[in-house]
Amino acid sequence: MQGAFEEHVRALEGAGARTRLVRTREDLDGLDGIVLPGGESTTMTMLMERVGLLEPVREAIRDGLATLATCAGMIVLAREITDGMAEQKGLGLLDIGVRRNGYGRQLQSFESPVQIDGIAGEDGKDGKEGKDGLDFPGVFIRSPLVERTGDVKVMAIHDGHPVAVRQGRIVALCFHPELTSDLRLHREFVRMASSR
Amino acid sequence: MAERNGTRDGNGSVTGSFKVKAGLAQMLKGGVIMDVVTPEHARIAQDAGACAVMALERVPADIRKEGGVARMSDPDLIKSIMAAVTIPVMAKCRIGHFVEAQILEALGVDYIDESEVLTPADEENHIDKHPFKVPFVCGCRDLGEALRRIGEGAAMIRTKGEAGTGNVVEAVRHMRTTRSWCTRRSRSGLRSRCSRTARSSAACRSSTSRPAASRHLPTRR
Repeated sequence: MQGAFEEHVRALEGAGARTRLVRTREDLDGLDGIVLPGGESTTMTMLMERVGLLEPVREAIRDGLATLATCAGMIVLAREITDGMAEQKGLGLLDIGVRRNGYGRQLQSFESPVQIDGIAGEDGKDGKEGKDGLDFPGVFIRSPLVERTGDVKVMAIHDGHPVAVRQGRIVALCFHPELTSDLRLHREFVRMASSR
Repeated sequence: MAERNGTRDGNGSVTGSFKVKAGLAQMLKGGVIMDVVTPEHARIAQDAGACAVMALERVPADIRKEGGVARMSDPDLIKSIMAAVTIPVMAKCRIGHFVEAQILEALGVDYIDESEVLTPADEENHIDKHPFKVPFVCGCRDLGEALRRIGEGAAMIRTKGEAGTGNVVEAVRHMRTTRSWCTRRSRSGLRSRCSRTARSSAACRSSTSRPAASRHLPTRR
């Protein structure tokens, strides 16, 4: 809808997937997986509602569509949102509570290495192993802060707060793998989406 | 003040790096950045789906009409707009006026527009933007200008256009020129890292600035 979708397209195609931008209900047909990109969560939910995508997307994800959500996408998926706009509607599918811009404004945006469970430094394929093999380059931009987690698997923690969670076929991240050249998470997502 | 490519703190995090600065621009793609002059405007813009707002004292059309010296907006106004919305807030400083930029950074705005809409403070040089932790957006008329601004540290590029006249053809011309130079560069095989940066930043701004016309709110530039 809005945000860094182009970067995700590039990363997914780099990981060997075919992609399609989802802008209408019909675009959802036949997808193995969907990416909810970074951007402004208020803008995205509003647009999704206006074009009648909110409900179909909610249904599709509830029915097991593989989902990768980054930053604003995580907010859109989250069950509880604090510091959002009044009446900010989300999908409410992911059992976490997030605080919008929980790490602060742009001046507090940061880069930090993140250790992710299940994503080992096995990216030897194109010789681009993370700096110390195991760490993933985390780029956090006005990122949401995960304040509460329910029935989800925490994949990574930064400064005492989860920054990557998994719930069934949903993977949600506070940071932006699509802004890096590290395709490990996108490859993992493509694997997950194609193994249904 | 940050170093050229960000400041490292105790726990291994880096703030203010170019990746983080340009990253916010990438998050704004496909959205509308709306000029606003009051917190109320800002809320209307956010409720209407804007992905960011530009906090101004006067919209460019009024600046043109009234003439005189146009400066950075009142810090109190910027603060009240920042408090009113959750989306990113941008503000303008005069070309070359690094002290205005320092004030805006201290206020904590999310992006600074070093803007030709305000009266230039320095006719020779733009601000050296690398040392700042806050990202900058700058205007351009062609790829040459875009690359100079990027060289100075701009993290996002927009077209200049003729602000406040309602005549969009200038903005369109600047966009066409910049993009065609990018295409020509990449076709001739000189795909330097710089031209790639320019292309993606320019592309970004083309999508953010175009649909800014609204009946309820002042239009952008």
